[in-house]
Amino acid sequence: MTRMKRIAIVGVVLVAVATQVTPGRAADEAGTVAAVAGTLQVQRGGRWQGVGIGAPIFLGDHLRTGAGDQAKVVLADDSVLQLAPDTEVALDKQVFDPTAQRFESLLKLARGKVRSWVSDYYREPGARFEVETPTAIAGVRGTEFIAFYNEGAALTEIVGMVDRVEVAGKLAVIGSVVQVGPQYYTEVRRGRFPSAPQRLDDARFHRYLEGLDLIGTGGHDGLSEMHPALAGHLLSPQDVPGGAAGGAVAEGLKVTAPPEFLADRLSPDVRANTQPLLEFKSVPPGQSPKATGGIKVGF
Amino acid sequence: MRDAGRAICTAGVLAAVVLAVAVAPARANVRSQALYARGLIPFNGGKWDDAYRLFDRAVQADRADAVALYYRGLAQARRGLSAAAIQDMSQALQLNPTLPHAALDLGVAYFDAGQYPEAKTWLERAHAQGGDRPTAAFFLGLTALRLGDNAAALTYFDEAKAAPELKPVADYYSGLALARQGQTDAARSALEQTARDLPQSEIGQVAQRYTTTELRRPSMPLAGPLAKPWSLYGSLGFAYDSNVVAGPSESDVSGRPGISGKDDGSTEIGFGGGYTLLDSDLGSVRASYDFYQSVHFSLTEFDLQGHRVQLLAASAPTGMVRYGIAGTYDFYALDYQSFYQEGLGTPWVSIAEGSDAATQAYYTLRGRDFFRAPFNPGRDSINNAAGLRQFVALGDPRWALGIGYQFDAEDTVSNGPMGNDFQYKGNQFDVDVAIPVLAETRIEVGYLLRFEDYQFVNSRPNRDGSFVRRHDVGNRVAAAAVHDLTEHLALTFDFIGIINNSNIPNFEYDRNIVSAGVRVVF
Repeated sequence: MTRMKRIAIVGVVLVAVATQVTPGRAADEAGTVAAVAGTLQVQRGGRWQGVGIGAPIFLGDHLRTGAGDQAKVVLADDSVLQLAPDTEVALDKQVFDPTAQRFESLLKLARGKVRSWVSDYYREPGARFEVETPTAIAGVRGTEFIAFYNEGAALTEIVGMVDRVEVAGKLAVIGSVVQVGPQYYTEVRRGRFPSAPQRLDDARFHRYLEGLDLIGTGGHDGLSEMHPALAGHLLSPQDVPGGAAGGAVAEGLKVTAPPEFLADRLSPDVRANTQPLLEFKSVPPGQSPKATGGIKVGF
Repeated sequence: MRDAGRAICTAGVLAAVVLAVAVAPARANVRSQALYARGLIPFNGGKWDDAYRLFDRAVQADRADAVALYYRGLAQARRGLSAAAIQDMSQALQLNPTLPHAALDLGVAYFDAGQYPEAKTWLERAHAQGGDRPTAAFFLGLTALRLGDNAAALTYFDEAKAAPELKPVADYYSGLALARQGQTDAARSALEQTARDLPQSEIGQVAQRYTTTELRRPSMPLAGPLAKPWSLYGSLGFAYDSNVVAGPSESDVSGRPGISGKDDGSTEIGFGGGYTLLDSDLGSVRASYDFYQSVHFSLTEFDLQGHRVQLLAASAPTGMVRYGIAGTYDFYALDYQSFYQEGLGTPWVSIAEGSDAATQAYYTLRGRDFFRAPFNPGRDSINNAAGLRQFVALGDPRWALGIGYQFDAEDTVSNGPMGNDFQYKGNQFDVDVAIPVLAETRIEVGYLLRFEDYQFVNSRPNRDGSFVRRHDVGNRVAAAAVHDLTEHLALTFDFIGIINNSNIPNFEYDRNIVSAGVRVVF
């Protein structure tokens, strides 16, 4: 085997390994935590643990928020999930293969409320993004909607935000599927088909948005909250009581009238000295003070 | 049939266009949401450039996404691009006027950019919206301080103190506002609180230093602008003068030969006060009066009495440029008889270079009028002076350096021998440094170098007996130290040294004055 052949074989093997690893990793890492207000917990390997912004979310992970907590996750397929307080959801399935044009996602909502922004990949034929609850399945092809599951009442509510959502009950028989448009909703009770979609008035519509108002990272994002003034830093020499000497320098904007030279400020006697001493120090040319009785000056 | 088909086709196209238009924003919105959410990850990690790029793509995907715009603005602000930040946040608020925190952050962005009136507008809106009320109050207080409105600043800081996390810093800035109002006891209390609560912070250390030093030193004659509307002072001192050189009041000096070169001691008395007539957003006007009397131990004919009335008007210190005018009237009596009077008018303008430096340009017109012969009218004159002055802070904001240049032309009213002898053009350079030294002592030192070129051949001979134009080089050194004993009482110690060299011996002289005294200020 020539040296060139060996190099070529090694190269082919490396390329093969690389192409195998990349899809595998993409398949496992299903998303990333983008925002957390309060605490977001992930169950992985049977253990719940808190995760922060930037933490990876893997296929099969269960996510949950407590009372008052909210979180946002951006998925590998560019879909975004926002979890309201007291919510638990599992990433049960994700196939994201742009080369083969295969896009499938399944989220299982055990309780609480999730708002989903479903990416444009799911507009492709055959693509499917589904949110499943114990009583219903909501499927979309690139849209935005809210899925709410009330565990105690075994009730699913689906609210359309943009475009349409297909909602079906979880029954052993094929039944009616309803289409829910923007600001419409349907509810699905255990063992039932979805109710006919109804339009929500603004007040009810906004109630469904409650707990989904997370803006930013959920932390201290604003200029005010990270401002150096609040951290005890001195913003400017102007902020020193008394300012600078003379009030002129540190309070650069507060320069006032030009100061006299220090000697003139200290002594009016110096300030008032206009050189008249000459008249008493010297005798004018051709004159004698004693002879004339005084200095003779001309004007 | 063909027409019907065409109509259906047209309707189909129109429907498709309508559908596309309807769907397009929705697509952009989902894309924008994903990019915005991805941008939050580097934003949270302080990677502002990466965050900016993602937020920017989010905005490109949906130009109506107010939240993405707002966060692009926040990233821009963190990257130091305040103008771009302000633009993004303004646009976000146009799209969504109730976007949480955005009005507050826009106000803060304006504050950081030094645009205080705009900052005030947005902070007031955030304050009215209520969501960030204590924080908005705190920044409104800071803005009011920058605008010179200490009373409003205090009101806002009091409100901000309701939030425990804001209280220590609000205490500090309350102390600052109180100090500027002259309420030294209240200022000390507020600053001491900050020094206790935030001992390791910059403001905590400044507060600590200030409460142990500066607040006990309001009597400094070199101190900054007076915060309260009125001030009064009195001083008593003793001076030794190595060469009493001011001319006596009598025109007939034959009986007083050899005065120059004699030394003498004197008692110096001074008092005065000032009152701020106007202090608004537009500017301020302050009037003051100073009285001075020296009483010599032996050369009593050199006893000098001075009366100075001043009126100072200046624009508010809210921008890079400040301007004003100073008017001064001086009246002097020598040996308790009228000596001379003068009036000075000085318009000036200063341009700040950041907060640590400023350049000032000024022009001074001075008219001097002697009351008695032989100086009247021979020494009566009009003087035109123009100067430039650079002020620089030296790290510690209490240290100050001033460097100046001035040109002046003295035009004597009389064209007789005396008038011609004293008509000149002068150039002078000076440097002045104010330095806090020990805990309760501050020193100011100045040096002035002056050149005078006289315009006519002098009536006195030079060293070789010929008559030439006079050229003088003057050197002046001055030092002033103030040591506070109490809040209202201070010791003062001054030194002035003058060496005047001339090509005509008659005009050469040296003079040294040393004085010490006490000063009372209210």
